[in-house]
Amino acid sequence: MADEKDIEALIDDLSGELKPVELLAHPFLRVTPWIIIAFAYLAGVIHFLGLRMDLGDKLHEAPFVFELGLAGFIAVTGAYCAGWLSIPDSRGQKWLVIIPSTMFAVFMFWIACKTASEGFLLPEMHWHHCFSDALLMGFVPIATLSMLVRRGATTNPGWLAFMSILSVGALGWLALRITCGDDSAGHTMIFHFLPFVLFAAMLGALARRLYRW
Amino acid sequence: MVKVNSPANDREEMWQEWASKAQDGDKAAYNLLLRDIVPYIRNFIGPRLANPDWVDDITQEVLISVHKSLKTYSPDRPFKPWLSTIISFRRTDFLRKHYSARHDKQTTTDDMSFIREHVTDSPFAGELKDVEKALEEFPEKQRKLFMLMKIEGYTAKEAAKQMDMSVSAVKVSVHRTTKKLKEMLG
Repeated sequence: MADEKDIEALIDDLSGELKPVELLAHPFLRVTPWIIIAFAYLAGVIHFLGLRMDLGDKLHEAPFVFELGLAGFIAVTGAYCAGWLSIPDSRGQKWLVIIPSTMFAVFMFWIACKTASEGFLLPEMHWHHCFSDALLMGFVPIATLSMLVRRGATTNPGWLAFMSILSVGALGWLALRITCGDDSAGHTMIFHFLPFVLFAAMLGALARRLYRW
Repeated sequence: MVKVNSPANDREEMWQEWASKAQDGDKAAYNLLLRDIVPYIRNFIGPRLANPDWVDDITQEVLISVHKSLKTYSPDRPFKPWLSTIISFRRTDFLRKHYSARHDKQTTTDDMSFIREHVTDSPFAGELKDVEKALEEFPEKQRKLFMLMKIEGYTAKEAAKQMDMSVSAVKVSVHRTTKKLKEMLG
């Protein structure tokens, strides 16, 4: 048990070892370069994997464009939220999590409607290249985003993990929809969505440890 | 909005100024800041803790956290919300660790003063033995269930699993034992 003397001694120790600190930049300024780099990285991966053959036609379909736009919006807002959540008081902006969370709910509703209208056919279960593509698309962005937010000091590890995976998952989804020509609900749910659910499960389980400070 | 000059506002501005100077490496300002926030931390966490001895432990954790995260404080923003978030976080963290290790279910019998102060209400200290004695008159299963839930702190679900009984049967048994004990002990 600590007592008054310990606290006095601790204060003296802490103030004795104080050095000028480099202030953490504004979350917006910290996250924007990450967004640029993440999009550039994905562009590189897409270039490496190749675009889907029918992309030109698909870009004329409003639902497809809406889906891509929604994913892009979730990716960007989720990343900014992660930046804000990496600061103890989130500079009073914790409410921002409502935006990507609501958009994610809309996205899930959209996917559910699409699945209901098209029907869900379970694809043949084997190691599909989309699964490894998703890992390739997700690993680097999630690792770099985690390093970025770890420079802060979060008091919301759960929300921070959720926002991070939402952002990276949405980025990966967007990229996979551009590279993979299979639009069936079963395929997209199992090989495009599931890898990020696994990422989310891992990050959720490790969140408190990963963001400990 | 008109800003009212109150001691709280003055203090807030003082903390902001000291924190800003501390970020520039001003050790004296930092020392003043840490000393000045200690009573605030204690007042913030004290009333909500089951054991008053934890206050100093959590206060230390908070001071170390303030030190570690000083770079995240923005000097153009009020200091108190930033500090309060850290206090809440550290208190929750402390309690989570404490309860997950089930430290709340353990105590030492070497220090009777601790038992007097924390295990039973001090005016009734010493009655623990009477309860134990009264419990001897109950059937073994009923006694064990009562001990598990009311003394060792297991939940009804955990006790039911341990005794291979249904949760509702456990609750009924413990309720009856408690009622009977109250009658026996007055």
